Amino acid sequence: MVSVIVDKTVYADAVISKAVYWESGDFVVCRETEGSIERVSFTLKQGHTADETSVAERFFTRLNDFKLQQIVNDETKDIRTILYVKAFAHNDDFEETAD
Amino acid sequence: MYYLLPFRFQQFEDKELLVNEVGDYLFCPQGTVSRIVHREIDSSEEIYQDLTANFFISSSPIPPLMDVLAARLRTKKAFLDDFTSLHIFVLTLRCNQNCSYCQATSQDEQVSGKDMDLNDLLKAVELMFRSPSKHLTMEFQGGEPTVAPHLVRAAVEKAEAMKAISDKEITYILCTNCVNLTEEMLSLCEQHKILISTSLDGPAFLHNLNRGKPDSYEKVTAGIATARERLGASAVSALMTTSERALSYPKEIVDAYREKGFRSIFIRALNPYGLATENHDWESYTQRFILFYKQILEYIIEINKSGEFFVEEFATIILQKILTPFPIGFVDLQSPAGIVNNVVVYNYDGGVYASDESRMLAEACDYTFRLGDITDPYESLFYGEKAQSFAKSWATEAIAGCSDCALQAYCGADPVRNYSTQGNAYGHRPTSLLCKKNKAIIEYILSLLKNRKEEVLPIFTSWIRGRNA
Amino acid sequence: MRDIIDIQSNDNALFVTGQCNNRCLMCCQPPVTCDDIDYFYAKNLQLVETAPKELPEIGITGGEPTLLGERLFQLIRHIRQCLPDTFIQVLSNGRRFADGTYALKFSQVSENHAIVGIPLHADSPLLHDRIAGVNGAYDETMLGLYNLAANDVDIELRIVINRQNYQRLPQIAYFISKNLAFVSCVAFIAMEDTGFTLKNKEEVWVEPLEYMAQLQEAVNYLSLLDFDVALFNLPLCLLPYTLHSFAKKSISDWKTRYEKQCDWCIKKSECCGLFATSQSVFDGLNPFIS
Repeated sequence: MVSVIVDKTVYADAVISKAVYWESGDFVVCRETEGSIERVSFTLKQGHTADETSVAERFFTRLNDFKLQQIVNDETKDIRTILYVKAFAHNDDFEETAD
Repeated sequence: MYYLLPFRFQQFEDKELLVNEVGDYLFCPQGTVSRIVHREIDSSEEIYQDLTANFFISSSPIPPLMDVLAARLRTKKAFLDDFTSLHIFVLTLRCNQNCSYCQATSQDEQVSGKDMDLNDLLKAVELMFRSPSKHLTMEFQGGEPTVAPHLVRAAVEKAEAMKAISDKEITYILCTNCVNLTEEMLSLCEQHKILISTSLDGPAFLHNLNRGKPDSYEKVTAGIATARERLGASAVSALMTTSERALSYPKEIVDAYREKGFRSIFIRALNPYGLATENHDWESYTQRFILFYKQILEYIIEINKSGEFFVEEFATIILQKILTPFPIGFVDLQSPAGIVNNVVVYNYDGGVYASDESRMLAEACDYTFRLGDITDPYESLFYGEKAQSFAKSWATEAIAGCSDCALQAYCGADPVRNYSTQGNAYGHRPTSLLCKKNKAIIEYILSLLKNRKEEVLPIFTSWIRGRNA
Repeated sequence: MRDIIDIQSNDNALFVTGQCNNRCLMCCQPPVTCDDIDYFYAKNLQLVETAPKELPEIGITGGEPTLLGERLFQLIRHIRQCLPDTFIQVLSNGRRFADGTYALKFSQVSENHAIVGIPLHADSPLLHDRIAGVNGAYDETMLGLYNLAANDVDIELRIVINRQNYQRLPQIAYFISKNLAFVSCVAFIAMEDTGFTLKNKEEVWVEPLEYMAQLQEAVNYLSLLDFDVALFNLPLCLLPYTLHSFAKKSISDWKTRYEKQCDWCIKKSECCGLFATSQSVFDGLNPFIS
């Protein structure tokens, strides 16, 4: 089992969850909150051959990437909505085919 | 000061790959995304120009070219405008071959009760014409549709009659093993310009091994020749399926296609349905398939470099998504997924299914993706609760693992595959072999464009153009 | 500009105004400030009326023709009436077409008999605006391009190659392939050494030999993706052989001249030659001797 400490004031829950998600194929992941930090433990699943020694490195790389992506997502949420509305809201075809 | 526009990224070899909401990509130095997000990019830098030009950042909170980006997005997804355009008619489950990897759970030719009822068939054609698409593709599958020629004839005649009083155009495709192309069948094809789609797995030994009959290759190639002669070479196309044995013969398979006069090949992995489920370790198959695919692609690139035009179709679909702004509706690689939005299946059992794989599940008595009966109203089949429930898991933009993936714009969602391999339509990306396979292939193609651009660009673009220089 | 129609000439254009709402660094027809629209309008109506019916093409140029507002449509209607078989080529910076209604009206009056030649200086808004001399020009031009395309108007996209943008030619090609796939033709154009080019020599002047590598990459990319690509104002001897097929005889015959050494060149008749109006001569001219 490999255990890491994640600072929750640095990484939001969604970010931690996403990084955990990608390890959940090969590992059983356990998360325990202790105040402002979280202990994340990885245990290799039975029969899986993933490399346990590199999971911490991989996990933190993912945490950092997902954190950046989260900033992009948060800042562009509204613009993205506007974009999709502008792109698809003119589909008046639906009025014609409905009977 | 600049503002972010929606985009995704990933580490890619020695660089960062950034892809925007409409599939435009940039390879940037490592650390660029962090600099972008932390507002460290200065407007005097060359990369600032790259990022503003390509809709990664904007100088205003609402980009002045919002309408341009929206138009691009609308174009990218315009394959949805036609809604269901591929209509598959599984006329019978009877077959005259016995392929070891049959995904259709084909039955013996003599069995009864496995043909589509004639009234259901006629009703299904009427359903097909309810589609808003101006251009319909009517594809006959099985089993082996040529063992039920009366059904093929009835279907085409009904479709022609309805076409005459509509504004639609139809392309007919007959999926056949070509083993028994009778005069009746050939003249029907000739009369109505029915295209032939057949299976050719590779060289004789491989094909026969897969098909379970020692003369299958002979019969298929004779059938192809007859069909070509009668209907024209462009009317006949071939698909291969990569059985486990095939994985060891990448070059031989391509050479077999070239030898038979084909100018293209579509490298398809085995789907874990039907009789194919009975074997293997899918994890190992997937790893080997990825390697196999890369080997074949390299071989095909070499062939093209020597001046011979030969296309790999799967790569071409991905390349079109990477290099062009055009809508690409390929049923297995689109978001929203191809089920219902692109394809529908009218099955011999009287049911309407969301896709080819959906009806294969039904052979194992799983009706999760059965939309209803052929006799049900169009609206309840295509817009009913069942169809709507699939929507929760059919867009890569909105499911875990895909929503933040850099390759989202080039990939697609497959709720049916998720369901059949992982137990639910939503799926679990980290253990998804489909994700692994698609990711590996898309990354490989991007890597070629990144590192061997001069070498591969003329070849790849010739595939997109559909012809040599 | 000329004020006659000569059916033997390869270039017959109606000059509609010297005014312009851009101030491109390399402009070969520097804008004037006086309102000359009425003057030229009357002249041009006359020219159209007396022009031969078999005239294959007629241009509308300036300055910026869309500054005529509604009168541009009247002029086009007049051409359509008097010369129904003549194809109209309008040169414009495209900005006015950011107004969707204006673009719609344009498509209605031109009745599929027009093509609009619109310059794009760069893929990057900052760079395009710097070259165009106006903030916001890029946004309006891009919206204009999209509005024209939405109304099925043919567009010839023009990239005038200069010192500011030549290094981005490959990126510009990528940008066009993704965002402007609807254009009928992409023309890469060498500068004319006159007008503002003289004034801004240091900022804009660049020799064709300096940008040949980038140009080749850009042309190659677009042509591989099935774009119609043309090269204007580039003598054949300055182009690598692979680009010869794209070169057009683009210079108005009444402005064309050749160097003395061109008399020896076996490709002289296919070559566009040089601008008689250019102050300098390109480096590296070298006749093809059999």
